[in-house]
Amino acid sequence: MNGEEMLNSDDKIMCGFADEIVSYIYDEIGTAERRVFEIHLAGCAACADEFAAVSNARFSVFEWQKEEFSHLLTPEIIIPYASQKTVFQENTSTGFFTGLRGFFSLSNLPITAAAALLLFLGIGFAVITLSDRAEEQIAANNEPMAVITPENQETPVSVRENPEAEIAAVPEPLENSEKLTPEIRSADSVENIQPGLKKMVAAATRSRVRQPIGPKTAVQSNKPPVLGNYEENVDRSLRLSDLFEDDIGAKR
Amino acid sequence: MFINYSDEQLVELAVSENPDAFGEIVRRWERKIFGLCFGMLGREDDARDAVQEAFIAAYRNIGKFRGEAKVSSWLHRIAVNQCLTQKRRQKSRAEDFMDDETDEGDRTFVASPHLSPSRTIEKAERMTLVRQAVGALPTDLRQVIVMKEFEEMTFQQISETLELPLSTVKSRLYTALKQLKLKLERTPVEVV
Repeated sequence: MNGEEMLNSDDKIMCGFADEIVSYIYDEIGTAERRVFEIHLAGCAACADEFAAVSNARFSVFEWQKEEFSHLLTPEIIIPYASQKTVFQENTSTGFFTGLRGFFSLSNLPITAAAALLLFLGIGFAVITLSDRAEEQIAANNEPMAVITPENQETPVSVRENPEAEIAAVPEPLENSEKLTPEIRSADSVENIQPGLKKMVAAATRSRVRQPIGPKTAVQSNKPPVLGNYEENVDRSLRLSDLFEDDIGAKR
Repeated sequence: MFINYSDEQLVELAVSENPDAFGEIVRRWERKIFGLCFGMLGREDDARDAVQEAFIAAYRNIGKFRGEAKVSSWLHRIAVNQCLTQKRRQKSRAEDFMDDETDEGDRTFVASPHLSPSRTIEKAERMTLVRQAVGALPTDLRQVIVMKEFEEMTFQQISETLELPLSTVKSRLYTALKQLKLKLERTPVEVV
């Protein structure tokens, strides 16, 4: 702003010493500039007025700052570096083995002893319980297998003296049998499966009944009966007697 | 008593040897002259001495006031010259006694401990006005004021902090103080 003419607050032309006024008020002016400015200020009423105006405004702010702020104490700011470090270390040392090592340290001796005792008791209880179960299992395995005899068999399906007649007596399949759920078709609805057994029984009859299909088999099947599945279950393995069936028949 | 008189009327009364009239002039202008002296000298004690000397010089030379300039301008010039005289005295004193503390001492201001109740109220109102005026400044101007007055940064530090040219910092501070002065003049403090 040096060299430029400016208007002061009273609209008088001032001499472009605005920078010098501010610098002078805040005591940040060089020695040579200060001397030039002082000489000018002593002889220039406009600059003296301008200086007085700016200086007064500055003094108001200065006074305000001293009155309202300088006596205020800056709050003491304490940053807990040490505790932060401790927390950091605790957070970083939470590994399993570190924790285990810390747990079994000497400072925790009573707790450690109690925990070890509890652990020992728990392991002992588990061992005893498991050994009892194992003995029960062994005893159960040593019991003789129940042999299915015609007397104790509930539904002797396998013994069929007259399969053809049985097939003829089989009722027609229900029309809505496909809509039934597998649970409905289980154990109690063996009869509904009978149509599916037709062909299987016929095949079994043809090649001698070797694998009786009892109600137990039907109960285990959760899927709807498909003829193909039953055919798969038929034992079609080649046997020695099959090879000589024709010869035997011819001899008979 | 002289509240409704203009400055020029008071000077005329003072010329006719009415001491109360000059007392009213002093009451009206002492603070502003003190601000000027404080701006020039930077120390409260020196500024108070300069104000005292300036008003004594004004009273002695009041007969020479021709009315061509405003009373305020006349007083400003007297105060400026008084400050320059005082600075010269201080400088020569420092050279004589090899005492650098006078020149290098921090700018200090100690509020007067003995204020009348009316002055106390006036001061409180003035502080409120200054707070409002500073708060009403545009942000860029207020920023410079705060950095200079509250953080006591140099122009160079402000320039580096705000990444502004040095001349811009000075210009902003000058503009801020001018606007502040206008805001404070619009709402003068009424003395009780």
